Amino acid sequence: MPVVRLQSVDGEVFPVDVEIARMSFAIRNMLDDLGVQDNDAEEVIPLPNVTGPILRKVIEWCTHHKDDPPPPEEDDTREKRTDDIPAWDQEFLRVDQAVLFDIILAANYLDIKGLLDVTCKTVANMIKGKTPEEIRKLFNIKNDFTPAEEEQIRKENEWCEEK
Amino acid sequence: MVVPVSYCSAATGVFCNHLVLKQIFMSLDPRTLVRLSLVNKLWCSTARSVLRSKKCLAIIKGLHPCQELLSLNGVLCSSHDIPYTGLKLKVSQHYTRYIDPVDLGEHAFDPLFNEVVEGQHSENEDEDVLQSQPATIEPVQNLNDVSQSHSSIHLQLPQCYLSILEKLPYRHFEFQWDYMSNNCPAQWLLIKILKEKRHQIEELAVYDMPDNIVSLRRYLRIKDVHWLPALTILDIRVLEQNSINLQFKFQLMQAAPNLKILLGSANEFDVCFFLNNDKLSVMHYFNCNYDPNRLFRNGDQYIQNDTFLRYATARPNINQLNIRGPFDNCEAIPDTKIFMQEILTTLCTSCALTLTKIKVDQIHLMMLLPIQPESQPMVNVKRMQLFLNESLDTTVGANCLQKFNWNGWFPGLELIEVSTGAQTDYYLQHWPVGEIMERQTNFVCTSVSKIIFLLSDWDFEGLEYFRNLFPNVTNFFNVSPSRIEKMLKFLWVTWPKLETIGLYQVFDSAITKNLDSIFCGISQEQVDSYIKAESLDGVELRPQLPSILDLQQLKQFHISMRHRGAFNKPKEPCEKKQQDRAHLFFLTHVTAKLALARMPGLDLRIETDVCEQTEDCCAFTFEHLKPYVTVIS
Repeated sequence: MPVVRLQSVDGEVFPVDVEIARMSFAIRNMLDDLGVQDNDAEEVIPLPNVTGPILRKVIEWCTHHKDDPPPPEEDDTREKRTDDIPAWDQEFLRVDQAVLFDIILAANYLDIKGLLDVTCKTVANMIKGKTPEEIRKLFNIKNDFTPAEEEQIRKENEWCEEK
Repeated sequence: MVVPVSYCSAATGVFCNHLVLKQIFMSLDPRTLVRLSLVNKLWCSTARSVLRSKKCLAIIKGLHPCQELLSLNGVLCSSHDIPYTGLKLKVSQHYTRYIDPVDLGEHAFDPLFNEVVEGQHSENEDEDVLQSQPATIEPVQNLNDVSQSHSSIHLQLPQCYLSILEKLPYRHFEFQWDYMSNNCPAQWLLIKILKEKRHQIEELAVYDMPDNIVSLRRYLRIKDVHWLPALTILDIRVLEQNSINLQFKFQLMQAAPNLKILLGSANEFDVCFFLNNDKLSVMHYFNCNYDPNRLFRNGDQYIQNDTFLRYATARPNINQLNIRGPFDNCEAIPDTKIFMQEILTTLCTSCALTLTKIKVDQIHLMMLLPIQPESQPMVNVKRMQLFLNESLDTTVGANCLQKFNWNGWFPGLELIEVSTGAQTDYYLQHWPVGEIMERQTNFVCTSVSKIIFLLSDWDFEGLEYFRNLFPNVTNFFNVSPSRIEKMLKFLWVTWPKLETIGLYQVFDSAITKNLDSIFCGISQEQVDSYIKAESLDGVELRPQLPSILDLQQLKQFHISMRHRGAFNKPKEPCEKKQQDRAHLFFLTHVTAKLALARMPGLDLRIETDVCEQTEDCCAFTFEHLKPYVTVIS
């Protein structure tokens, strides 16, 4: 099996099957742009935005899902389900919030749609049912509205249909 | 709270990234998204961006639409980033407060007002309806105060509703219009939106229409036949419940050349339109509750048999099928049966892969008997509503159902709702009972795990058949059970793997008796002795009859009771004179301590209406069953 070597920002190098590495559209484009062939085993792909521990998690996820069918085309107008996270993924994502957020950023940077999808659903489940104040506390988010702006948003929201 | 630096940077990276945030928000429902818009500015703009990509209506829902619209216009006026994709509006006789000429007093001779009166909305007028705008609107300070006087400012409507017209997108538009008013600002706005924003409307829901409007296009005086060019979803489900004018429905559909989904149904009288106008693909629900006396005859009021058959063979893309009938006193039963058998089998074969839900009575279900299901099983049908003759223990009742190859026809069926109301007596005279019962094979349906009995006084002898027919039921629900004692005895011995029981709309009169002996499986004398005992400590329940303890896998038992005392008609067990017997109703502490205590995994909930009587007076209480029972008022 041809291998490509991925280097994290902290210098750790991970030999990965090309087939698995190409699950990342960012790496796939890099390989294509560089003209890297399947047998260029010595080629190192630097990934400056991903740390070693997170890259290891990402590779673990990709390895587990390498035989998955390609995700279907998305319909942005439809609400995605969040109760369909596979059991393996649920266990895989049972990590500290900091690690979860790093995986999301890595999935976004590496453009791994399936991983981004499942991690975002996990965060969505954390958000559901919480008030804005609870969310600010949970994620340490600053409220940057002026009182007048917040009041205007509230007034606008009052007209929204509740379902 | 001290937050680790690494956590902060990661969280900040995620929650400051508009694209990642959007990806997260795509999984959230509109209500949550509306709430999230109050977190901070980035969350607000992202949440609203996602809301606008979905569906978010500004809804006018109060008693005074005209004034509410004025308030909405004020909010929109100072808004820079609205979340809405459209408007839901109502113009109703009971709710719309419009300005009657009598109320106008000194303004009655206002030339502007006179222009309004002359320009009332009517199909007979030549001038454009939009020229007939009501001239005034009265903002009411307190929207809840119907009696507030009319003395207030008068503004011209286009200015009153300017932001609503200019700032709202109209991708989605919903309206309830049940009354033709002479001078209603909300109606004026509704007409203006339909006329001027019609090119934007992608999804339209019509809840009600004035009876005299058969064609909106004609009423609005729009020349273009395809006057709703962007419309892809038309929702007329509520309108259909209120009896829809077929011509109105057809004209609305013809207005939308790009219509993809009709949320509503089509019936046996519609099929000609759908066939001739190439609209079969938009119809997903075929609702055929036919009158056999209208078959085999010609004329507009009769079903055109050839067309009906042509429709069935055209492979309509339906996912829901309701086929019922015939009614009593039918003259053409034998021919009807042959014809409907052909229609039904053709439909079930041509729609085998798209159907997900079926409503059918036992007569029509049995029409499928001669067909071999293996040729085209309906693999996606998960849910069936089955209408039966109430006399289930007769030879033409539920036992016939065992001759039907359920797993062959419906291998994925999960839920069955059983209703009575199959008007079959007359038809059954022609029912080939002997032929059916002579069939050697009895079938069972192994896939159904949930069964719901709806609205009836069931024949419990007949219910026994369901035990054999659906052996793997784990969830049982009954709406309005009238003979609750028999029902419970039936349940204790029927499906030993039951996990959920739900008894809904149980009238209090059904439980004025004490049911301890039924729950515990012991005699009433034993129950009485336990009730009189000072303590039940050390007493071990030894049921001699089937009891709730036989359902060892039961996890949820939900009883929803309708308490007549809550509707100010105090009767037993609410009346004060029954107070001293309060604990003798339904269940006493005997069941709680001897039976329920031995089922720690059981969540038993009793839901009751709040009684109008004072707490001291009403004897309809279940507090003595705590902590083994959760009582919800």
